[in-house]
Amino acid sequence: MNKILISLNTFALILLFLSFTFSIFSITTLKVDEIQPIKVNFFELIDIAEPPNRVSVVKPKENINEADLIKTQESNGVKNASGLEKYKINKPDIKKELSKIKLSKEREAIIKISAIIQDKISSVWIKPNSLSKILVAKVLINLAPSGEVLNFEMVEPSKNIVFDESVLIAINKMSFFEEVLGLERKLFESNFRNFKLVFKSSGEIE
Amino acid sequence: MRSFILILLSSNMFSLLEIEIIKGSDNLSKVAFVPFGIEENLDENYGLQISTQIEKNMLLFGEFENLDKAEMLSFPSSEEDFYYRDWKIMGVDYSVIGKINSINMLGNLNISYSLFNINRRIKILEGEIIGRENNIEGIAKIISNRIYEKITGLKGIFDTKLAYIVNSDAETFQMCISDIDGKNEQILFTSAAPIMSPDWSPDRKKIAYVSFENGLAEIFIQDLASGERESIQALGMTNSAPVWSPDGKSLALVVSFSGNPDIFSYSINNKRLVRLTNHYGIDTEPSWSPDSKKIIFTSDRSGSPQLYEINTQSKRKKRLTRDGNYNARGRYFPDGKSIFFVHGNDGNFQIATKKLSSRFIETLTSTSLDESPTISPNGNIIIYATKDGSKGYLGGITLDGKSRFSLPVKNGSVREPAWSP
Amino acid sequence: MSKRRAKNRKLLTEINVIPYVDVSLVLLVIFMVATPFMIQGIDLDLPKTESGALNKSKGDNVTISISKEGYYSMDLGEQEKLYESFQVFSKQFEKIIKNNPNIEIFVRADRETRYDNVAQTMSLIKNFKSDSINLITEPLGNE
Repeated sequence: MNKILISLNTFALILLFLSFTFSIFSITTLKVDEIQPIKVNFFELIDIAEPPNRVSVVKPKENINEADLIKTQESNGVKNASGLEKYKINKPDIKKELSKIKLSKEREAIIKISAIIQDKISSVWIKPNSLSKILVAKVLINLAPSGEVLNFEMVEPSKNIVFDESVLIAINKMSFFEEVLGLERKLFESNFRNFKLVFKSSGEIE
Repeated sequence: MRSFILILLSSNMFSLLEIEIIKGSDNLSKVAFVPFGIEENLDENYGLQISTQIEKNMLLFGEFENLDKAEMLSFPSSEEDFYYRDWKIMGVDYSVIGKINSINMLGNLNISYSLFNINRRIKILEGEIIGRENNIEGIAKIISNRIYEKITGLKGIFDTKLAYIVNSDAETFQMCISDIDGKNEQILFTSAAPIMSPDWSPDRKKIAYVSFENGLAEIFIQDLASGERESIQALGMTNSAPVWSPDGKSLALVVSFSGNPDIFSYSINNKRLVRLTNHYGIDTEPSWSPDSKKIIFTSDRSGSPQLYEINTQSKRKKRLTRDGNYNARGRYFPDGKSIFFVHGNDGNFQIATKKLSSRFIETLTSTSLDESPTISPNGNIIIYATKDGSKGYLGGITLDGKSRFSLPVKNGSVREPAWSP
Repeated sequence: MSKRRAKNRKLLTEINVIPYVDVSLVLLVIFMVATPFMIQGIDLDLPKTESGALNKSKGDNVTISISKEGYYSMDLGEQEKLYESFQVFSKQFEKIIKNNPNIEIFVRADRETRYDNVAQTMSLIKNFKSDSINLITEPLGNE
């Protein structure tokens, strides 16, 4: 038994020695700095075929009509307050509560993304000195689901050439809003497929 | 300022999500001034000189950032060699290129130039100019003005001048004018007695100022071309703080009969003095509104110096400031809708602005002994006098607060700047 | 002590190798696992089926191309700007990185380019931007 172990051990030692020497050799010859590994991405050079159904159709069934929902909730609330079935919980109520939670979550996501978009645009918009004029310019943005700005159009110019120009420059600098990538498709379609940016100059000296 | 308002209108078929953008970036527009090209058999220096001069002008007030010449990827001189990508990749917002096409026997250079908006990928300005080879500075100023106007929408100010008083020692006072970049300084008048309150005539041909050379405060009007000085023989004991009306026909000034200063309007042609205020308090430092209809002035009638406005026709007065116990040296913005003045607070004197329609004042500067603010004709920059120890120098600030700068130091204290129209 | 030694005297003639073998085997395993990592040093992030598709429109980017003969060019100017030497190319590249630190870099090298050229480019890029290098490849079977 011991003999087997000893021979195994010698074999292991030889292996160990070999791997040592090899590793030392390979390290010195390759001279790759292992402190800061670099990340290499490989990209294939292929023509990107546009997905045929870019404008995906949202099933109308899934589309929650918020206005209607709020209305029904309100009327429901009034009925509950006046009626005797105040403590009665029925299934549609739970469903409504759930959809309410879902709605508030959706709203939160929309606000979050809107704030990011606002920040991004703010960081590239070089606002001209408009003295004491109050100016407003509205720009309609058309996004792809990938976040790419497909198209934009100044729908309500401020009529101040320099202000409008500064707005167009800012939007030209932003070609992507990757933030919408994480959104549910339905939310994207109803909120960010087309949205408006409203640029305002309060006329105050900042 | 950081208040973000989000208007969210979702799930309704007809209303789109609207995101409101109020705050702009703190960054400045980046401009690349490409050395101008030259035709063969011309002196290479001209091209570089012109572009460097334009660059210097444009960077004078810190309103822009530049791309250093050494950082440029290419040096185009005509539209054919200009590629937007070369500049976009460097984060440039605007590029200025140009070329010296020819020089004739009289030494006149023919220069063409263009300005490109890199983000929008369009040429926004193209021009040609003929000027003498020994006046490269002048040519550069004209080109700078046009570029500045195109980018900011404001009037170019590189051909304006500055008047100021240099006090090199206790007994030497100099009335000086210079180009806005500090070059071509001219001493108009030297005196052993104090000189004060210079002001430009609207046609830039004359300067009015107060001199104590005859023992009392006396107003002089000096013609810049001839150097001739003319004293205004007003009736009072002392006459001070002359300010030209924007139409150039009259001066607003302070006349003191028996020690009580009041505001008067003095018509230059028929030398008539019209009393505007009559109060036992001190009324001083008048200044005209851009439409010549109103005059702003400082008065201590309420117990502390505050700003008032008087209609020169109806003589109706209105108090303009109520914050703090020191608001003086008021001036109107070129659009007449706001004023700027010196606001005192706990022994700190700073330049502040106020919209006439609002109750609030905003302080612009952060130094503590600021005085005599003067505004650029385009209403975008204020230059003021301030102190570093006992030595006075001129500081400046753009109204968006993005840039603060100080003008080159002179040997001597510099006070009371006045920006030419 | 002496009592114990007397009891085990017979066993002392041989070395107890079991812990020794244990330790050395563990060491062996460690080194065998560790050596390939030490050699590699480059973290390969190979494309996933969809995200691998080249999408350059996300922001500012520049593509460096290296030809078979070892000429460097970037997609500037009219279409492609060719540089006479690596020195000239690296100077221009430095300017870009300095002015636009967030730029995305793509490297396109010919299949027969010398390894040396690619390595040089990679180390140049790494000097300024250690987070990511993008290599453009052609899909298999696309001759």
